[in-house]
Amino acid sequence: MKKILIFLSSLLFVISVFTSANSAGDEEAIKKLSSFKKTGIDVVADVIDQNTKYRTNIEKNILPKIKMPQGFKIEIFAVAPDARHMAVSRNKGTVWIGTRKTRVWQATDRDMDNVADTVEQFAPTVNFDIPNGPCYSADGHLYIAERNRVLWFPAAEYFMESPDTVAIPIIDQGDLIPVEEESYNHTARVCAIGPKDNKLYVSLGQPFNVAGPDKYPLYDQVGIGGMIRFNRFPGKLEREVVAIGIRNSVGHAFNPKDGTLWFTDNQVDGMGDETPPGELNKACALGPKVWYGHPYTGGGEVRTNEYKDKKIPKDYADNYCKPQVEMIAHAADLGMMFYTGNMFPKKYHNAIFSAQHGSWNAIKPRGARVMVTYLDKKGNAKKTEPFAEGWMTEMGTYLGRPVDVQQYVDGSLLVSDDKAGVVYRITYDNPA
Amino acid sequence: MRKLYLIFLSFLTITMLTSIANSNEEKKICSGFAKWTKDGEFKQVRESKCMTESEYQAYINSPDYLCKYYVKSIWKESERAYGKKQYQYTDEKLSKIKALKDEGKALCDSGKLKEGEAKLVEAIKIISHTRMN
Repeated sequence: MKKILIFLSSLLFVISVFTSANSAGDEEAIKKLSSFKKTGIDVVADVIDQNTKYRTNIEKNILPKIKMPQGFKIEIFAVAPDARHMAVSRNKGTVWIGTRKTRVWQATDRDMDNVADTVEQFAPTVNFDIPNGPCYSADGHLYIAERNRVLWFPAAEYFMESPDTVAIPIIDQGDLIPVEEESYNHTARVCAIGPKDNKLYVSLGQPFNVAGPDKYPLYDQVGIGGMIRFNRFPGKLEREVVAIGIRNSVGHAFNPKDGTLWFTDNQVDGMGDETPPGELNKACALGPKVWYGHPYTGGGEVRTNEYKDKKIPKDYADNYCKPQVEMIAHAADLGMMFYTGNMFPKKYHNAIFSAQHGSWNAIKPRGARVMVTYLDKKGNAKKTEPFAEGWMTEMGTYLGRPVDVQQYVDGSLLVSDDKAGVVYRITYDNPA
Repeated sequence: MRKLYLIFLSFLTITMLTSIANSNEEKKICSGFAKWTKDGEFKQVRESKCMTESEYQAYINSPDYLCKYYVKSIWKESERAYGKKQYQYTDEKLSKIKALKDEGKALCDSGKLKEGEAKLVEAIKIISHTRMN
């Protein structure tokens, strides 16, 4: 009996030491990485084989089914499991690909043929937690927005080949949102850098289908169900809420022509197969009172069942900013970008490309396509239409589910797909 | 010559009618589920169920559509194992949701659609206000 007790207490001791070492491991590693020191962690980075039957099957079974305007061609840029949002480097042709799991991939075109030759685990000594949102600055810094932390990877293109990549917290673990508000759903963060203020903009989805009124003083104050901005280098954070009343935005970008902020928003479930609409929004202004409708509206002007009998507070109503485009209901509009390249025909210059992930609960399958929105001379949405579709079979099954769109260094369009686990590259060659 | 002309004319008419009939053939709306296996095969996991566009329109415009939609939605989010896992439900909440669903469904089945919908919406509100995992 005594032996059993000693054995059990030793086992408990070992487990507790292991657990505490595990939870502290990341903090210790980050502390060392922040000081440009090696972590000493013995880790072998995951490498994704690019030449498998899997890739051949996608080339055979998916690519021929994708329909695009004449002259466009689609191919595989990289095989990357769970591929979500992407950030494209400026010099090396590396694409960082976030996931909703624990990995960030770095896909690098080593021989400059516009196809990734290597796809490896980025920063393997960092314990990522839903590192969905990488973004890259023009001055060469990579940022990754996780569920509840924002990390800065200075000169990521140069440090990326080492497992000990320099990583500095801009927002520490647990400080992005209150820990008690953490969830798995609606925590796919994305980030972008403001062209006017050089700050980092991060969207914060709210962890309900529709949150109750008791949550709103806190959510509006923190920016949950909204968007925040802050300085992107250590020092004074100067965190500010720039938008509220957003349900779950998983894609935003700045119009390079006028600097306005645009974002997609996923809308309320449980109201019907064809309602409420998804949204593409243009910020009317940046500030803690600018309100986009949620939770009083579920998408567009459609009132939610939860709040339809409640009067919209004056503070909200006076600062309401309505969507620019109402997308079809439940299509799950996610990543978006403005096209600034020269490869595509002129009609696409400064147009918005956006990805529709597709519905998980509608009877009539929808989405699983890339949309394009053209702007008028005033910088408002003029027309939205499908650009690339075919990831949905006639039998209503998803061959793939587009998540994000980003412009590659040559002006082609990258599309990530977290179902097929690849990044596609769409190019244009004038058929004339 | 006249016969030949008549045959040619009949042929043209039949071809045109067939073409019109074909173009009017309704596109089917199907929902199924398939996934990629690790060895790169695309495998159908759940069989597709199909309906025509007019059947779909008739369904979503039927008087009892919202009753059916809400009942299914509540089941998906609070009874189906996968849906249930997504929320931080308490047993008390689940019992309340179930009771409201049953009550709402019974009202809908007895033809009291608006009353039934109202009960079902109460159940959906509880789901909506429950934190997701």
